[in-house]
Amino acid sequence: MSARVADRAGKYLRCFRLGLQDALTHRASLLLSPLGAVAPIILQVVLWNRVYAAGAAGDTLFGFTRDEMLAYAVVANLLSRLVRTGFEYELYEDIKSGGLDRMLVQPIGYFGLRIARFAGGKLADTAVTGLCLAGSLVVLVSRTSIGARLAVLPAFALALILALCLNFLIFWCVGLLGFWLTETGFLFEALRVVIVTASGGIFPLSVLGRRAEAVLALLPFRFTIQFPTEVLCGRIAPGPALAGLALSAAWTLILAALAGRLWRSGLRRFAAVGS
Amino acid sequence: MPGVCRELAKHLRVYLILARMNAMSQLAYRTNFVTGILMELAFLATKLLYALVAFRAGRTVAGLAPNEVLVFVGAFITATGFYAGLFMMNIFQLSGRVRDGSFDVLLTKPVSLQFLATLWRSDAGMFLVDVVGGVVVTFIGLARLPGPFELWRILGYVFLLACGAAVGYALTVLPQSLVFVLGKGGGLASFAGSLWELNNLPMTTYGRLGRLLGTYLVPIFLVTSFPSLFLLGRITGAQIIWGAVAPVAFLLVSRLAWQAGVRAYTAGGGA
Repeated sequence: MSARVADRAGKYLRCFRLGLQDALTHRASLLLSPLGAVAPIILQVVLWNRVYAAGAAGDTLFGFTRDEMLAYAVVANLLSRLVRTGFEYELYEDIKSGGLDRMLVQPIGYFGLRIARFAGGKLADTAVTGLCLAGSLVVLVSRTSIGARLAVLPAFALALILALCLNFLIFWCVGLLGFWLTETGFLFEALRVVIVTASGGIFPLSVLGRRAEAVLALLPFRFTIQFPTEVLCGRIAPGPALAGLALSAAWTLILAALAGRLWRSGLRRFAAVGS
Repeated sequence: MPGVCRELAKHLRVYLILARMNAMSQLAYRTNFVTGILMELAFLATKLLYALVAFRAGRTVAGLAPNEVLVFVGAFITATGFYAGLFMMNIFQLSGRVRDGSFDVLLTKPVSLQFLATLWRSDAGMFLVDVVGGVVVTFIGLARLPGPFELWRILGYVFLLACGAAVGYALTVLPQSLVFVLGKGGGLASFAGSLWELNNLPMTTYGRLGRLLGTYLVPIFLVTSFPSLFLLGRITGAQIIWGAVAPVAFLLVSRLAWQAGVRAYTAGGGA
């Protein structure tokens, strides 16, 4: 019994290692990837400094003080890089080219294979981005009024894990559209931009206005970027943070159920054309 | 000199043929065409968010009124039409071509290798969405500002915008020359793309050092800030001269970097 469990876990562990190896093969690209967040961070830091400078000292805009907004801009931009996926294109290609049928007869679950590879790749990403995040937080704590609150780290770690799971499931569902669409073109990229905006990855959702914020609060996207960012920046008290974590976990379960349903329904349509 | 003109005319003919082929293939794959437009509309909306901040905060940004910020954002959207519609896809494909060895095929063609590798593909849909959208946004910003706008200002704006597009091309090609050495260019393309985003704000919002770096060392502000400053009557004579000279200088530098990169190419993918 335990040998079977070990054998099963071993398969996925190997996939996890493959994901990690793939990320480490192109080390220069891996190390350069956080650079993509540098320009948006500069842009937003400049913008917010100028906008707050035009008002009175200590005032708030969109529910944020200047220092809180700067911290949000830095952390949210790094997190949006960290939770970013990319496997949806491979998933779609497997469905479109019929390559999925080869995977279906192998003694490994396709969903498990993908999530294990994603987790492996993200481990390398997390190490690099985590260092950048730690460095940025040290600068923020030393140069702004944002306090160092080590107590938020466990809640942030949990929120980040849930954000990674949630984003994986959101884009897994997006990739599964391949069962119904013969061509997706740039649809995935268009959806990614909308989802990142709806997640608070560009600006806090309050910038979009009260009505838009209220609508987006009913959707799971904010738990992928805005919620972990606010937890790390200490903007959420312990009670609401716990409630947010529970809600994030609930959304993960809902999306997992939806993903399972879409997968089963898609497989019934799958004709392995092109294999 | 006649030889150079002949070569330019030949490349222009080839480019028009390629653009027609690209447009025909896009119309054949309508989903790509439509979703490409949807994607550009989504990006366009995210650019407008920066103007939205100025409007919703109801404050000036570095002395610029929200409507003036809108003019800058409009110029940025227009310039992005050149980046997304004419360069971007080629740049994203380059590292794939280098890794799988299909870059070899381009080496055998009787036209400039850089021309083919960086301008082969174009997307009329994305180009038009951004250019039309950008012009509309610029016009809305201008219309809400006091005072009439003379034709010569608009002509100067178009000239500096074209110069900015040339600088944008050079700055996109420069880091990609490293793809021949590194083998994978995802991080580089992402970095170059993110530099482009710095144009989302007027150069006047950056500090003195930032303005100097963004004007002379990595002249990203020439892409949209110079044309917008000209349109708003806030540009200096020296900036106009630099705006016209920099494209030539940076196209030359990017050409030299590209040639050095190609010399390092080893066809490792074994096409």
